[in-house]
Order: sequence, then C-alpha cells, then structure tokens
Amino acid sequence: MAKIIFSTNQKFALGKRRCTFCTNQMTDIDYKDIGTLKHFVDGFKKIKNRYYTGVCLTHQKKLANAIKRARHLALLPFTN
Amino acid sequence: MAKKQDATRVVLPGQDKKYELMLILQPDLLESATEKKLRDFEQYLEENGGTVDMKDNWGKRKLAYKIGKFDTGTYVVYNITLPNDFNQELDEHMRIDKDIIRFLHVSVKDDYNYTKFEEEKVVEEPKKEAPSAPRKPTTTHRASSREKTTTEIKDKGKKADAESLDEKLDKLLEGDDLNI
Repeated sequence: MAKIIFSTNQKFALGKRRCTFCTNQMTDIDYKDIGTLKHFVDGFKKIKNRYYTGVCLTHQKKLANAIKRARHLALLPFTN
Repeated sequence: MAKKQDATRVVLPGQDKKYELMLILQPDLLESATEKKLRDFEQYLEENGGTVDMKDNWGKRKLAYKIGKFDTGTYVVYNITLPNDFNQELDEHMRIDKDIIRFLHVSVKDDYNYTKFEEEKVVEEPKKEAPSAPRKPTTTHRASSREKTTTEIKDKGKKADAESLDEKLDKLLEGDDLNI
C-alpha cells in the first residue's frame, strides 16, 4: 500500500482544497492509528483547526472523536 | 412527521452486538499473572453469553502521561460479541478491577475488520561527539591563538618523542631569524 502523505498546511494552498481522507477513500478513522492522528495535532498537542488542515466536516468530527479516544487510552498526550 | 424506522436498525434488549474492548493492565504483574488475568476475563465474558472473536496483545508500552503511579502499561485489544444489555455490568466489573488501569469499550459496525497499525519510526540522528576537554574561557584573541598552538604541540608530543622536540627548539633558538 502506498504511503499516504497528509498535507496539514492547506491554508495557503493554491487551487482547490481537498480533504485527504476523502481523496484516499478512508471512511472511518481509527483511534489506534496514531501515525495519522499525529499529523492533526498541534505543537501544544491540541486538535488542529479545519481551517488549516482542509479536512471536510464529516471527517473532522470523526477525527476529533478518534483523537479524544486515543487521549483517554494514553496513546496521545493531552498537553505538551 | 415521524421518521420511518428501519427494521434492521431496531435493536431489542438481549440482542447480540459487536464491540471492541481495549484494556491497559498494570505493568508490575508477571507474564504468567497477566495471562491468567486475561484467561479469567475471557471466561467471565463467555459465562455471560459473550464470545471472543479476536484478541491482540500489544505488550508493554510507554504511556503518553502518568496514570496513577504507572508510566507503562500492557495493552490488550479484544473484538467481542455481547448481548447489548450486559454493557453496564461489564463496565462496572472492569472499573472495580484494580489491575486494569484504563479501558475503552465501544461498539463497532457489523462488518468491522481489525487492522493493526504500525507507528512511524523516528530515525535517530547520530549524536555529535562531545569535546574531550572543556574549553577554558579566553580573554583576548591572541591568548586563544597561543593556547591552540600549545595544545597542538601537546598532542604531537604524546606521539613523538620528547627528545626530538627539544632538538627542534634548540635549532629554532640558534637560528638567526629570531628577533627577540
């Protein structure tokens, strides 16, 4: 499987912004998949805004839920 | 206007449903003790009408933050089918258990497939070698240059003989080029 590159800095992206999850046809976001979740977390370990990442609303909600679950299980930290 | 209800979506009490469980056991337990603990837990599930579809033991892992007094924990993932009126009792059972630090108990879709994810490995850069001797604070540029020369000579002196150095010094002093 080809490695998915998450572009989380789409604020100044040229052309049309596209959700990375939609383009890669990922319907569900797993809370155990820490490698992808890490891309959508701030330097202070806060969830990045949709404005900066370019994720669509449905996926952003799923993402936030997954990150919160991962935090509960000490897979991701709450703060830095 | 009332919405139409799907016949497939109506869940009766006592009906089987799929769940995913994730436990964090405390790390101080021995391997044999953890195995026994998990075996007892599976037995408890089967006694109450559940079945274990999948079990995955991640082993010991470092926690992102301290839970109680523990820095590490053994992670175990279960995919189970349970009667849906047994959830509260299960949660209480896990909460009371002292060896289970944390748990997550969530429902999943019927066509859910467990996938194992691998964390991105961080490539460690080779560490730069630390200087053998700490540098002394220098007052002027000239003084620092002098120190450098002396250290170089010292290093060479270790390899070469002391006698050869003396001879070189004598030659230098005897030479006419010197203007003291």
